[in-house]
Amino acid sequence: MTRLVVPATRVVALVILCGALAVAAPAFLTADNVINVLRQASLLVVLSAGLTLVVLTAGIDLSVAAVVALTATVAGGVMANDVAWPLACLAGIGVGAAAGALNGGLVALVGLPAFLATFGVLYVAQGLAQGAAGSQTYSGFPPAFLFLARGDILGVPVLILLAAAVAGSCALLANRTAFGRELYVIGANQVAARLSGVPVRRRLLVVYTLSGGLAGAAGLLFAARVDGASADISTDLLLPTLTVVVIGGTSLFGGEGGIGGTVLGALLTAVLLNGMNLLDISSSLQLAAMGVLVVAAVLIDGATSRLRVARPSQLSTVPSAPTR
Amino acid sequence: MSLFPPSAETPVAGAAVPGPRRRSWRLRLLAVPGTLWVLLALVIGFTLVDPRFLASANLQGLAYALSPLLLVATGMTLVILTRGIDLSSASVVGLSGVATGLALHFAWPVPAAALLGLAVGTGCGLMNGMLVSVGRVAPFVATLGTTGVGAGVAIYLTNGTPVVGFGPTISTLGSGAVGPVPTAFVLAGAVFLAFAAVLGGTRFGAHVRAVGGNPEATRLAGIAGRRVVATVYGLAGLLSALAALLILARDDSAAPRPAVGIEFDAIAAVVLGGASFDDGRGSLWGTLAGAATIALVRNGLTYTGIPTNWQLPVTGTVIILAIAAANLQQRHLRRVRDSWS
Repeated sequence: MTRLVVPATRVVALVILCGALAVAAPAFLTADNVINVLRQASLLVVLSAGLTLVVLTAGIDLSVAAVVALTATVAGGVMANDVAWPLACLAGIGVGAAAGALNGGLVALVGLPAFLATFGVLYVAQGLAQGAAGSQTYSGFPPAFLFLARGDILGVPVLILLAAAVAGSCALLANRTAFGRELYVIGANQVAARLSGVPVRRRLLVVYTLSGGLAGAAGLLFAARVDGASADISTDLLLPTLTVVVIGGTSLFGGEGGIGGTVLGALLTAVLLNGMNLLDISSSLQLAAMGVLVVAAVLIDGATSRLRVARPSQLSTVPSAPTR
Repeated sequence: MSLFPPSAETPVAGAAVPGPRRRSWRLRLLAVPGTLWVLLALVIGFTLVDPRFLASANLQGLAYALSPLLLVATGMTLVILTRGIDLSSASVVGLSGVATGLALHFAWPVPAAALLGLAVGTGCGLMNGMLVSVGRVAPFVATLGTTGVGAGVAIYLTNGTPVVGFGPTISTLGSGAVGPVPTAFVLAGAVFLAFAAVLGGTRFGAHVRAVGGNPEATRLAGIAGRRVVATVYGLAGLLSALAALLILARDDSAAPRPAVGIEFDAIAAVVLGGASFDDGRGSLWGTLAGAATIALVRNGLTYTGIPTNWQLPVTGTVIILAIAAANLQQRHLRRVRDSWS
């Protein structure tokens, strides 16, 4: 029963938020706008699904936004050289996965703290994107590529279908496979996981690579959506992505949460961003609002997490008993 | 169990190194000289590539570039010593610089405008500190949030364009020199020495190391760990604001995002200096060596002919490799040390 409380509060919050926006901004409930919000949420889902899995292991991937920029510019550059767009997509996802593998290697093999390793990769990826693309914007992509982000199949936007596929597979992975269970255990108590025979380093490598690969896919979709790929395509995207995961109920302490929460978090964040646009709030203040929001979400997560689960102090060296 | 009784000089915090003190000194120094060798190699290498590297004009430019980094890295060292991190330095630099710039633009007297900037920076830092110590928010999240707030507010206040039009006093501060040494560097050096004295010689400094070295023991010893942590982040904010003043004076303008990536350089400087993230080990002198190395790498790269576009990822990769190497070295050290106890 308690497992349903967390999603329920998110749904309630979503309903209240939509209601408030419908009153404050009449343009909110138009069909066009709703589809727009759903597309935005779909992009966020694809971007955050892999990140959710990483956070489940009590890790973090700060490089996702930069990977978006890198894959968008790589794919854009490849397509600008008249290479077939499926190959460009493969290249993009490959680059994302490589960045993810680098993250995984630094975290699992070298033993760097996750925030530091992924923060470093963030700068390298962003720097590579700027180095490769400079200040130019690639554009004029083939219609088949743009269809991925702009088209409909039987009236349903392709983006939503893609997001549903990504969310569905990640949810299956997390909830119905041994791999997923191991992720939760690693997040809850890494030492216990290792002692129980979980190949922690291998799992971490895989999960970070997955996060990078999905961020790469998201980068492709971002580029397709606006028919443009530049190094600054994902400026200030990191905070909303983190917000999506934390608001969705996946705890940064690891071992709790899941893709379902991320989907709700994506909807909430997309509605919020859309609402702020409709209310003419300047993008710089939106950035500040995102900063406040992510901290508030983590504060609440920290406070309620102590109520939900008895968790040893993070600073204590006594290993805890498994909580799930 | 230790084979030797604890000596009177055993440090309060952190794992006491068993064995004669002679060996412990060697161990503690093992981490730093690596960076010093790299520093020396870089200087020699760059001079060989282009002798203009050692010209006074270039050295002065180096000193200018090093000054803000040294200040931010000092604050970062204190934060990392408490097992934290501060990702918000760039945005705090931006916001406090904007605050000072706007004040000067509205004809505030220079000292008042500078104080405003320092207050803004310290305020942001204290906000970080409260979130981490009282709110128990993970430091990377708390400071990441501050990044958004700081950058957002700074961009909003300036409409994205730098503030210009300050009086002549600023430019003299920015380009003045004491003999051959730029004023900015003298200032940064003086502040650095002050903090080195505080960290090494005061009770507060010992408490900072205690919090990072063994939080449980710190708590049991009755030290107000939360107050120490909050203060440390506040100091980091203050130092970022000081760096902002230096940048403002040098550029004669206040941009909302003037020092993108300075926190990355600062963290790298601290790690290259031999600090670790999870047991409160590190020293400001190591950070000095690390900061000098980073500034040298960035400065010297322009002499190697690598196109500007690629300099950022190249330095980033070099830094990551250096951090990874330093981390692996740390772990090796720890294994050696632990095998003695």
